[in-house]
Amino acid sequence: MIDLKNVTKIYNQNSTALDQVNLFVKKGEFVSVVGASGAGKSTLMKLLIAEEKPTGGQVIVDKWCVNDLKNRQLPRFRRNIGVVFQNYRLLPKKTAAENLAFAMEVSGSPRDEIAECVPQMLDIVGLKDKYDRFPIQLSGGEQQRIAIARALIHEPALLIADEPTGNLDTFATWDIIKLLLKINELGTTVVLASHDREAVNAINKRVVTLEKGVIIRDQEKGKYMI
Amino acid sequence: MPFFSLPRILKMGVLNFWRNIWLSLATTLVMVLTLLSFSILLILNLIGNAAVNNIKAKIDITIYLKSNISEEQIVGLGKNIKEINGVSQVEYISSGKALENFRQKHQDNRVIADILKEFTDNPLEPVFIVKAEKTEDYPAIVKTLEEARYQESIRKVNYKDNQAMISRITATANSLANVGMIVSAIFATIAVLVMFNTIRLTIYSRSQEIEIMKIVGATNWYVRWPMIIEGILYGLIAAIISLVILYPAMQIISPKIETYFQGYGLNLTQYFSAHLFQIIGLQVLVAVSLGVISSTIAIGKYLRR
Repeated sequence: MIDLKNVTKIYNQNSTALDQVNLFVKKGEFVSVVGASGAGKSTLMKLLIAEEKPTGGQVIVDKWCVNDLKNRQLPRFRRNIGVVFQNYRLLPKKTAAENLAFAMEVSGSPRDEIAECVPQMLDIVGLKDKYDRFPIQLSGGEQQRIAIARALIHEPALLIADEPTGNLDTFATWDIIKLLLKINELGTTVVLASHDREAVNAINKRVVTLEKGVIIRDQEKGKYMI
Repeated sequence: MPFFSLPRILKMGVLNFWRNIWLSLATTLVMVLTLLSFSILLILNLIGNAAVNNIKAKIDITIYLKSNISEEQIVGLGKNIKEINGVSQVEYISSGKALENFRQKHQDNRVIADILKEFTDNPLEPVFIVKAEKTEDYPAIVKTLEEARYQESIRKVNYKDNQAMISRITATANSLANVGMIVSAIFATIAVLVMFNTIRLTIYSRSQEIEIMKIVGATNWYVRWPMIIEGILYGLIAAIISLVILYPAMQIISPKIETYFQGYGLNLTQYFSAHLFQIIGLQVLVAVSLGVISSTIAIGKYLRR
């Protein structure tokens, strides 16, 4: 599913975000990428969604080689991956349902398919009765659940979550983590970047630890150790 | 872009316009001001042209005929003059008609009326009044009239006295036209730049939204088209508002302008009514073009990343 080979990302001569990183993620795995601020987690996530290109090495995501992706291929690539961000990144002038519908519209899904899928997805994340609310009318946890619903609407094989609980309280954090675990049980590969030690330790699955752009630890049933 | 996306994109453009209503209204207002500036410039041009054309129309060549000329010769001469290159109109005024015209023009003047009573014979001569298609044609027409074949019928060609004035008027009219065009071009450029910047700021304020759309997998055209639709909406609504302001304003101002330019044949209301569809079409075309071009250029920056 994901294969990083000797990946380096240098922003300028004083800033090497990733240094010769090698990482292989199997289909159906749940991987937590942990590390302090500035360790390189966000850069790694950006490479996985082709928001950045590597300076060196090769990044392969779901058979796409990110190094060679052309601008016109980006939309199709991104429709195959679900992405969730710390700041939710919902379209502020669209309702919850419209945010989900938009993700389907961009790939040309017909109206009846959208009308069927959107309510189902909202139900899965427990927000069916808030379909007509704008993001500003929803709590942080609710917005993140909408964002997860949007990420999953195409039934992607891979879900990338970049600090999804960063802006949430403890209760909302656990709701999101449980949702991610449920998604993984259904077969979706999940890559979670987080600096929430308790959440990562409770998940009790593979943990990859980054420090100053280098993987220092990679354990199947790992813990986030400081 | 799949064909069935068109209704979707239209709906998105309209919804975006509505949900960013204050921003949309501000942008539309700037466009209304732009259109009104163009319209005012057009009106000023119209008034200027009417004034200049009116003055030009008063210029003519007066041909005084010899007293022993026969009716047949007069008719023949009239035909020949009409055929001279550049002549648009030839009017024959007999002595009797000239006297009648003179009496009517000065009917309120007792002194002139008393003087006329002293004459037993008609003191006024028959003349041809010749008008040219363009003021520039007059010198060539006069030169032709001075040829030998016309000299047996023509006593005097009264043009040389007006030549200086005609040249000055032609030069002034041309200068005015050039200055008018330059001023219009400057105003138009300023208006377009203000319009472009307003739309650019509108799109800048939604740059995050554009980024999110791209992350979700929207193509550049799927992001661009709703914004172009918004540009069209700014243009259409601005054109409607501009026309709604212009027409009543025209009804109010036109009589005042006609009074000031009395005798110049300037009727703005009539002009606007006669060219109604052209004016509406021009306003809509300019407004929508401005909106579309500005939106396309402004959003291009965010789609190149």
